[in-house]
Amino acid sequence: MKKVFAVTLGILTAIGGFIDVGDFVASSQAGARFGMSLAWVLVLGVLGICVYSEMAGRVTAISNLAVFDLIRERLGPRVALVNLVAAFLVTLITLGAELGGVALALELASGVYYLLWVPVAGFVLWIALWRLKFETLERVFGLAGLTLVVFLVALPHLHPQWSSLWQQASQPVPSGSENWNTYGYFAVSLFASAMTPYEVFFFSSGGVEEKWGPDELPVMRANVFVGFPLGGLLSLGIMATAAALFHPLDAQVNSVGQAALPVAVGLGRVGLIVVILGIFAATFGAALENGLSAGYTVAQYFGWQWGKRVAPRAAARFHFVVLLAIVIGVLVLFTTIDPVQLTEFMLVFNAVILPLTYLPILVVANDREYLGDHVNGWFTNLLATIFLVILVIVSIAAIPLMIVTGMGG
Amino acid sequence: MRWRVVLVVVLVLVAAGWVGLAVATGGGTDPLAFRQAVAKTAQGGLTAVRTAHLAGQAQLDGRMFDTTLSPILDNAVEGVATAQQELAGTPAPGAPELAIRDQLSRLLDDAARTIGTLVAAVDRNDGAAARSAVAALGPLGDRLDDFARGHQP
Amino acid sequence: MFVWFHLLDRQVVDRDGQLVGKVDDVELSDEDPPRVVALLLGPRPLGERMGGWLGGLIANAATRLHSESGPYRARIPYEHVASTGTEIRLRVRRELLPEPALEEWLREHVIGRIPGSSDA
Repeated sequence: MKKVFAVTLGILTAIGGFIDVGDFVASSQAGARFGMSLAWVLVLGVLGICVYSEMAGRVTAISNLAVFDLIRERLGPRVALVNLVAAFLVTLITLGAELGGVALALELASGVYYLLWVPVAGFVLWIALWRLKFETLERVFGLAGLTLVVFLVALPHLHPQWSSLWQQASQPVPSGSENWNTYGYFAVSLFASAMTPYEVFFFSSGGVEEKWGPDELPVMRANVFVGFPLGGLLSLGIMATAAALFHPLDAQVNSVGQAALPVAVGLGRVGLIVVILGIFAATFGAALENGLSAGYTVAQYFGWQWGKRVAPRAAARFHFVVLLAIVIGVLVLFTTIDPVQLTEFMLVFNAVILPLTYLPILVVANDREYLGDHVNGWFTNLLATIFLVILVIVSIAAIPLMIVTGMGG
Repeated sequence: MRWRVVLVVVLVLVAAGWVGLAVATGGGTDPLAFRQAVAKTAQGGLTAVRTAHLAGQAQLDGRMFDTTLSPILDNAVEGVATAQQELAGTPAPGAPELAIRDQLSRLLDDAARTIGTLVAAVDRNDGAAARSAVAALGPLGDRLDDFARGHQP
Repeated sequence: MFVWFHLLDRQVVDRDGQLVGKVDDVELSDEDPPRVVALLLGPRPLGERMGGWLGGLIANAATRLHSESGPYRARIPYEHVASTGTEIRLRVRRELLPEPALEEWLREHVIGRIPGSSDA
C-alpha cells in the first residue's frame, strides 16, 4: 500500500512538474495560430523526453552519475566546456523566463505590475532553495502544478467544434494565412518546450539526490512513462483551449493573461483562481529546477560537492552558482524585456543545444562499463537514434527559422 | 589550429546572420515590405481587439476579476499602440498603398479609442459604458479581421 | 595498458562518498610502460591538459584565484586510491586533502555568512 502511494505520488509530481512557462507560451501560441495542427509535435516531443529521461534515469540509478558527469566523461573536458557554457547560459535565460512567468501570474492575481514582483519572486525562490528539502520542493510544486488540469476541464465548456479540432490535428499543415516557415518555427518551439534540457539535468541530478539504485528502476520508469505523457496531455489541453477560443477569431496569443483567458471564459472565477495558481506553481517549480540545474551543471563539470543533501557550507561553490543564477535571472528581467518574448528566445536556444545534451546520454546508455546488463536494448536504440536525427534537424533549423520568421512574425 | 578555424567560421556565421537580420528588418519602401508591415500591424490590432472583447465579455458575465482584467486590457492597449506606431513608421510606396494605410490607421484608431473607453468604464465601475464598449469591440474585430484577410502579404 | 584513459575526467569521491573533484590530469612515472603515480585535481591541471587558448585561460584564472596559504592544485598519490570504476574512491577522508581555494573563500566570505548555512 505504501509502495502504491509512493508510485502514485511520484507520477502525480511528474505530471505537474512537466509544465513550465515554455509549455504555456508555445502551446497557447501554436493553438491560437494553427489550431491543433501542431499537436503531433507535442506528441513527438513527449515521446522523445520519455525515451531519453528513461535512459538518463537508468544511468543514474545504476552508476550514480548525473547527466553532466556523463557529458564531461564522454565528450572530454574541452567540448564539454563549450557544452557547459552553452547549457549554463540557456539555463540562465530559462530561469529568467520562468521567473517572468511567476511575476506575470502574480500580476494576474494582484493587478500589481509584474516587474515589481520580480525581485520578490527572486528572493522567495532563493529562500526556498536555501531552506527547503529537495523532496519538499519537488512534491509541493509538482502537485500544485496538477491544478493545470483545469485547462482540460474548461475545454468542453468552451463548446469547441470537436470535428474541426480533430480535422486540424489530422492535417499537419499550416492553415489560413500561415506559411511553412512560421509552421516550422512553432514546431521547433513546441518540440523544445517538451524536451527542454534542464528537465534531464534536474531529473538525473534529482535521482542522485534521492539515492536511486537498481531497485528504484520500476518506480522511475512509471514516473517517466505514465507521468510525462499525462503532463504532455496538460500541454495539449492548453493548446486545445487556445485552438477553441482564439483560432476561430484569428487572434494570436502574446501574453500569459491571454493563455489563462479560455479558462475564465469556460469556467468563470473559480477556474480563473485555479489556473492562476497553476501557472504560479508550474513556473515557480520550473524556476526552482532551473536554479538547481545551473548549480548542477557547473558543479558536475568540475566535480565539486553539490546537492541539497549536505549543508550549504559544505557545498559553497554550488550554492554560490545557484545564488548567482537567480541574481542574473532577476537582472535579465530588469532589462524590461517582455517575459513572453524572453520565453520565445529561451525555447529557440534550448532547441539549439538539444543534441549536445542528449547525445552523451545515448552513448553512455550503451556502455557496459557503466550499466552492465542494463544497457539499451535494440528497440530503445532505434527510437533514440531516430530522435537524435530529429534533435539535430531541430537544432540546425532553430535559428534560421527564428530569423526568417522574425520570431514567428 | 582546428579550433581556431571553427571559431572563425562561427564568428563569420554570426556576423553574416547579424547583417542579414539588419538588412531584413531595415526600413525599405518596397511594396512587399509594406504589405508585410500592414499584415503584421493589422494582426496586432486584431489580436488586441479580440482579446479585449473576450476579457471584457467575461467581466460582464461575472467570470473575471478586476485584478486579472486590468493587466489583460493593459496588454491590449499596448498592442494597439505598438501597431499604430509601426504603421506610422512604414512609408507607403505609392498612392494605392497610402489609401490602404489610411484605412488600417482608422481601424486602429477606433480600436485604441474603444479599448480606452472600456478601460475607463471598468475603472469607474460603469457597467453601462463597459457594456457598450464591449458591444462595439465585436464588430470592430470583424472589420479588422476582414481587413487582415484581404491584405495578406 | 592505457589505464589513465579510464581515470581521466572521472568523479573522485572520498572514503565516505563525499565529492572531491574530477581527475583533471594524471602524473605518470618514467618507467616503460608508464604507471600512474598520482591524480591531479583542480582547474590548473585541467587547463594545462586542455592546452590552447581556452586551457591557458582556465589555468591562468586558477593561478590568480589561489590563496596565499593553500595550493591551487591537489595531487593525490595513487596509493590513496581504494577502487576505480565509474567513480574513483579514495581511502582517505576529504578533510585530509588540501581544500580548493575557491570553495574556502566562498564559504568564509559568502555562503558561511548567510543564516542557516550549516543546516543540511
